[in-house]
Amino acid sequence: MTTAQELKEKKQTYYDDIAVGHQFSPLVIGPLTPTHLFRWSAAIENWHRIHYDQSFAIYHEGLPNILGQGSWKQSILPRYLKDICLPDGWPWKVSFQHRAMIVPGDTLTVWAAVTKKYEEEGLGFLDLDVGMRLQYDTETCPGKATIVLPIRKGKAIPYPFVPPKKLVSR
Amino acid sequence: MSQSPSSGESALTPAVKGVIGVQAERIEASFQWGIEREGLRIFTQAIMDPDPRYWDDNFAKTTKFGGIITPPIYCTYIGRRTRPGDDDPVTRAFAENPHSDGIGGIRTGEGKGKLPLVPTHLKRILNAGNEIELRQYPKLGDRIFSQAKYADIKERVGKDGSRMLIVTTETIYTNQNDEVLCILRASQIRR
Amino acid sequence: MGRWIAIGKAPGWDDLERFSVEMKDTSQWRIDPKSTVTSVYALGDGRMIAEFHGPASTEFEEWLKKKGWSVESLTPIRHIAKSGEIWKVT
Repeated sequence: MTTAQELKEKKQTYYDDIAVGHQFSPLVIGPLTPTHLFRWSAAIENWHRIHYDQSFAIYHEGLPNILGQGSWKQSILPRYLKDICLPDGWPWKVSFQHRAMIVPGDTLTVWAAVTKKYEEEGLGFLDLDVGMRLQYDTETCPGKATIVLPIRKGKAIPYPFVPPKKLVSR
Repeated sequence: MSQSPSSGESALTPAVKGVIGVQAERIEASFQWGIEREGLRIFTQAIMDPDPRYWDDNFAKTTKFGGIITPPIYCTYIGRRTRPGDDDPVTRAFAENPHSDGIGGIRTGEGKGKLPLVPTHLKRILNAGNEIELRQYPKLGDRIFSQAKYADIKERVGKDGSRMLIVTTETIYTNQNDEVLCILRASQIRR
Repeated sequence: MGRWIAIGKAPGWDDLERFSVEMKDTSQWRIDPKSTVTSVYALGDGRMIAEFHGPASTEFEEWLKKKGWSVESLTPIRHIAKSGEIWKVT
């Protein structure tokens, strides 16, 4: 797991230095335990018993065990992209689907690979395939993302971020 | 509510199409004190993100954000919390149903900020995916507002010929200055 | 969704380390998205008990065979009491 000091001292990754096909260093989380799941449920006040009550999960819902929360996974992917972009890049957008359930004992490897790169309005855009793979090689959260990295000697990425009109599909 | 159509009939009825673009009331998702340190601390521990931008004031001031920020979609979880003074939803859930799943007692604001139901007979709901778009991170003290709308509803035909709807709900999160923080698009399969 | 108990023997599973190798990782006990071996007990007399839920017992039977069990009985469960909670198998 990344430390506070590493995030403080992180050096900028530049658009110029990344090629299509590049795989960013993964973020490994786990093994997850019932306590991790319980902590998340408490943090966001999600009282659904399938996340902390094993008997209910197994005998009432027919689940394999208590389940890792989709809402937690939903925060982990943006967090990972945020880390990749630090200090001055921007994790513009990510889309994903929930596939395999995650249960205590699982270890997640969050990953991202560059599929396309392009410049727009002086900023460097990278399209990514992203996901969270379980320890037995099953993908639990396949998705796509677009991040913005600064171009060497180029302009700063504006904050708040305003996407170029040409790239906004809606 | 319409009867189940035969396999040849579209589930994308005029009534269903009629809710595309319907927008709910903009509501305040945060409590009156806005984004605060303790809730932020608990959340960042739960996602195991030790980023000093969330807690180290001196360091955060030196960053492009100018101060403490929150994790990317922290603001989207704010509105789920029980409001101070409300009846305890957990006790109510089990009083109403001893076999409750734990969340049955939650009442979410008497319809405020809620979209109308999609007028379809297709009752089974599956999560079809989410899209998150980020514009800026909330800061300490920011108040969070949300507004939902039905962004799109499409029909899909399964391999067995059954009709299903893909309903995409878009929720925009803004702060007290009407600045967009993030946009969440959640798609559901109705079948 | 049914629930079954198997009673039998599994050579070597009385050793905790071997038992852990056979049962710890998710992939060992989650047969597929709907079929799960939820509990296994190693008894003092050398027998084993396993509990399974899934759409049909055939997945369970195949799992037991793959794991090298000799099965004395495979029986559906009707209802369960767990620390004061009562669960009926539907």
